[in-house]
Amino acid sequence: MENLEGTNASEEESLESLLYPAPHELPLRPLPAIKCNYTHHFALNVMGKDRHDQYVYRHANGLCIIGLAPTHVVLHPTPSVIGVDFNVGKQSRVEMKACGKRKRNAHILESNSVLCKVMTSDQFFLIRCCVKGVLLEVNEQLVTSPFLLNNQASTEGYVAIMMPKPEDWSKAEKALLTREQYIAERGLSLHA
Amino acid sequence: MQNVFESLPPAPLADLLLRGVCSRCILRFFNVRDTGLRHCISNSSELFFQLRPVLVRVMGEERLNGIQEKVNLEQVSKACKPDGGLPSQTMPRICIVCLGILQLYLQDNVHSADDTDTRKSPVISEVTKTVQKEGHKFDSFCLEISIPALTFVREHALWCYLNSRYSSEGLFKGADVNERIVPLKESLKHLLVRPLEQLWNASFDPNSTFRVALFYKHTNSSAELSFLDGLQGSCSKLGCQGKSKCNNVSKATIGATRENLEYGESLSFVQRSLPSIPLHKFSDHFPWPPPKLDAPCTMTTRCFCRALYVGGRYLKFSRNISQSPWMIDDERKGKSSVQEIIGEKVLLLFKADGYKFHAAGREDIDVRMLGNGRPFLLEITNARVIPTQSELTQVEASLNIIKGEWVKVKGLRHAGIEVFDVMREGEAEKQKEYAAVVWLSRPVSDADFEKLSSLKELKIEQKTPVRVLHRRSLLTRPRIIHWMSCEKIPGSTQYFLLFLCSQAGTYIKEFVHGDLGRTYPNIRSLLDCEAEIWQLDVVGVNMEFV
Repeated sequence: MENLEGTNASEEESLESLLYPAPHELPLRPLPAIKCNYTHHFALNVMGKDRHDQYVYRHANGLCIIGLAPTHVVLHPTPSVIGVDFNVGKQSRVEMKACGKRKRNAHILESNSVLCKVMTSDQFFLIRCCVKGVLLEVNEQLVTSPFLLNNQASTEGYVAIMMPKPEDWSKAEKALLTREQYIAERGLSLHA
Repeated sequence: MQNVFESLPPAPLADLLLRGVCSRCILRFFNVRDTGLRHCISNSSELFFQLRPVLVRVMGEERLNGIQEKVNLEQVSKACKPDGGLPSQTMPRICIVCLGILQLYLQDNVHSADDTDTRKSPVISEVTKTVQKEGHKFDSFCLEISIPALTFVREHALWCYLNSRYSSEGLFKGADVNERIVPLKESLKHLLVRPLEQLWNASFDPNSTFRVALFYKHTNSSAELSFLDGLQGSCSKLGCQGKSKCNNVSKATIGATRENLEYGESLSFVQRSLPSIPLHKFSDHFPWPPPKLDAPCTMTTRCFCRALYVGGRYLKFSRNISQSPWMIDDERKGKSSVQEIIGEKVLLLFKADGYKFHAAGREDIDVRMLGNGRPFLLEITNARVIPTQSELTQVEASLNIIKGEWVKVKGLRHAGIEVFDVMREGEAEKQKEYAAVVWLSRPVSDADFEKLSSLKELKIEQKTPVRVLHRRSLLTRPRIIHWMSCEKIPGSTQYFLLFLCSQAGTYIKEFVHGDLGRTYPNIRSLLDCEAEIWQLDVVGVNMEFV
């Protein structure tokens, strides 16, 4: 990447040349942020329920994005979510946010704790944490725009952000599949 | 010089001399600020013998002997040693008030009858040795003097005595000793400043960055101050500290604890609490005459240069150098840092102990800092030399010609501490300009460019990005994108160059890819397609600086 060294030419000119990348160095498609900043993990048949597939995208800083894998039964073969409800358990998950730098008031949820209820026209499905940790945020967008789950489940349609302790993560990671294992397990094509 | 003493009221003068109050403290108690102070004999017994004929003449032998007898009696009864004899034997050598601090020749137990020339005193040579050893180059200096709290107590005790004995004659009136006498520190500075100025060929300046510190300590301090523990009310604070420590630490460390206290809060604490005791009651708490001294104060010295500041702007051409050293689990990220590259060089120039690097904001390790550069400030601790502007410019040049070095510096110069605020403000309030290489999931069109460049002062809502959420609190921050402009990248259809100017504190990468929709609106939502950021450069930090 460091192809462009500061030259002795006039400053304006050199700045211009620095900013423009050489076209041949640009990849056809750059790695999306969700792929280059996170490691992808999957939990299949969560709580033993068939096709209850979820993802856990882990950032280098240890935070985990929790969401619905493309093969989750509400998305595959036909995406059919019409509503999301965070009013599960004793307290609404929306209210359960940790606050401040030190994450005061943090609720530690277990890996089998329920994050939300996803509704279709005739059924509902429970989405679980998959890792034990502090719940930092739930995606409130889903309440007003549940269809985000149908078409952008792996980005804007994420469900929650969790912060597991390193030791809890090490435990949880063993039970999760890598992207390659997930693809193989579900017999998907590579671009899934 | 003796004239000064001859003009003082003879009875209290004789009283003070016989009790072993040094000449300089006597003048302090008479509130005499005399520039000739340096050249008088400090030792009270010497001075007494010199002044005796005058005193006899003024007050008569009988009255003088009366005072002498009374003092002797008090001191003998106190010491339980009935060997009266000549006054010189019973009169203490070490001043009972300043504990020898103003008797400059007493240091290291060197005693000379002739201490009128302070330049040759051990204090001066000790301080000079310290300064030479540290190797500072300076043309001005300031003295920072720390004296034992005990001196305040003894001043107070003497004042109480003088007040009770002589206030009827119109002398030593008033309850607050601090307002009536010349402070010990002032007198000591008075004694030291001129000789040091001459010796060091430098001027005394209270605002000088070069500080010379003198710490005086006395072994009697903890024992003699223990009465403060017993006092109630305003004094309970020290009492509590003392007691709670007594309960769980051994005797040896109690002394140490008290010594530590002596230098900090307890000094002002002692000064504050003494007036709360009525003058006539003071002797119930602290004995008169005060306990005998076996040794004078000991003195240690230290010298250092206050923080100096050097400002400038830096440019960073690498995507592999962070602003400050970045360590994760003892493992270094990036090959070097802007801070180290600049700091180490400047450190050498100042022959300093260390430096701190402050900058007007920071960029990610993979973001270059181009254009006019980012303002920074180096805080230099304990510099031995202060380089000239041309030396600073030379260092700047030498940094900039290093082959393969990815960091460049502009406008390196001395700065004042006030620049700190300018920079903090710059970090929080000034506009920043960026150039981003953006990829779209479809070919870039003129309509996209028009759309983006038409948006002025665009308000966005930015939730704390996931990448920093582990250390920052979750908030939705309103930010403004002041303007955007776009340029095609020749030879590429799906990439373009996005120039944008934003409010300080905007996370640009997140504004492009949307951070899971947590920054909104974003380039993705504005252009209704997928968007990714390939690379980012800072091209301008819009602020005036040094």
